Amino acid sequence: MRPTTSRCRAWLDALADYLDDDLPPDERRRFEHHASVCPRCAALLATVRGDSPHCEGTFDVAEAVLAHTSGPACCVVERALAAGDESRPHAADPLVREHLAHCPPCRALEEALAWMVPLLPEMGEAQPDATFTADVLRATRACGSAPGRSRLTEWWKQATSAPLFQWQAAYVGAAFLVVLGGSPFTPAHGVRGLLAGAFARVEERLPGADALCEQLASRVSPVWAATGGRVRAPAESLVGEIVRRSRTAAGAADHVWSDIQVLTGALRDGEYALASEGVRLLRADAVSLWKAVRGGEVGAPFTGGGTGFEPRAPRTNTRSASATS
Amino acid sequence: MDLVELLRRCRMGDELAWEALVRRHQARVYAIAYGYVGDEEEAHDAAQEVFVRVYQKIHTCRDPERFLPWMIRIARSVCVDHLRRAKARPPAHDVPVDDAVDLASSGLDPAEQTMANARRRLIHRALRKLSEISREIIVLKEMQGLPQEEIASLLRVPLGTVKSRANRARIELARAVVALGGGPEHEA
Repeated sequence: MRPTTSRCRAWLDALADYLDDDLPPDERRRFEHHASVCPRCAALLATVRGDSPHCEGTFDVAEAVLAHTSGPACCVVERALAAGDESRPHAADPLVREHLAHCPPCRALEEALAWMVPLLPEMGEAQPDATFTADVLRATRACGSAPGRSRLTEWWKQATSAPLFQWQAAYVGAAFLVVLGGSPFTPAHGVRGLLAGAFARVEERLPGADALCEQLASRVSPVWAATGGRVRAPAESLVGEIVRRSRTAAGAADHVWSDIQVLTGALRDGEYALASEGVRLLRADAVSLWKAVRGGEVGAPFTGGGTGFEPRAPRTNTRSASATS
Repeated sequence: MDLVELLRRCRMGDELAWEALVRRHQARVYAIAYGYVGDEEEAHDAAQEVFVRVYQKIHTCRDPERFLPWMIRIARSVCVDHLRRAKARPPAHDVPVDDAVDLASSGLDPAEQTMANARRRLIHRALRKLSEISREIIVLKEMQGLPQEEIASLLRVPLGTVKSRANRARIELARAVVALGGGPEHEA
């Protein structure tokens, strides 16, 4: 209990003077008026005068005084009790002992702490039931991961067991491909463009290549049939020979055709000297064409008839085929 | 076998070493769990979960001298999670302090043993009356004997807070014990 008003404090300050009858009359009237309206101060005054029914022994004057002044010192004693370990240094303090002798709640706390504090460390262990160890071993065996497994392994195991792992992996893979070859801002994009151009060019030439292959196949198939498919190398050599003769014969035929046109023009214009030379060239080129068709010039490059005509590029397949036939 | 060798063999996957490690520390882990959750069945589950986590993370504990604080830290984390889950779900019954818990005996005669067990049960009932931080400090400091620096790190509070709360928690526990009948009348 603490004094509830400042008047109680002033009243308590004047208590000694009141008991010694040293208060002036007006202050004495105020003192007695407060004692008449404040039951706590009235009880304290009665106790001090010795006319209280509590003064026979149950009412504590000190408690009443402390209630009007600083309050009981239990909190101080509690701090002392709480700070004390097994050695209980507070027990050596006579003031604490004196308080404990007159304060049953603090004494109860002290007695509780006396048996409780040594018991608490013993409560640091408590045996579980008999099945505990088996349950723990079963649980650790069921959890699947072995002790000592690396953190990376554990992470990979958890990541792959996640429900969204497949989606996440697909997302990362798609992002990787886009970054590597699909983005227009990456160098790989140029490579991809070149490859696309190359494929386009191949596709453009593919029909012509297909026709050539078909023609070659039509020429080669009798050869295959003749050999019965048993001698592959000679057959391929023969095919190569046919191709070379065709090209040579096509070139020679072009020269013959040019010589005929030169000869015709010279005869039309009356230039007989040139016509005589044209006849000579025509004869030479005709011989070359004949040799090319018959195989006389196999392996030797065709150089024309010595008239300044350069070897020409092979003609189309149609001409080659006609020359071969 | 000392703890260093035991931990080394546990990290290598030795099941016998792991079983020995569990048997050596199960009483402490179970006491921590019981101090936190205050129920035998809940403490059983929480302590089991503690060992599962220790098993999964034992390769991260390289210093054998730090094994006990490390394990207590895991135990505290698991118990706090258990308490949160228990708060989240509606209680099926009032949480009792089980009288049947087999507390560690100290070789006393039967009368003294009975008295000690009664006092332990009283303390556990009083622990339920404390605030969370006071209960944690009682469990970690008074029961497990962790240094105050370790507790401050564990609870993520300043060291001064732990020091001041330690004395207050002890007084709060004594008050609760007295309120539950553990005063002089109880002794008589």
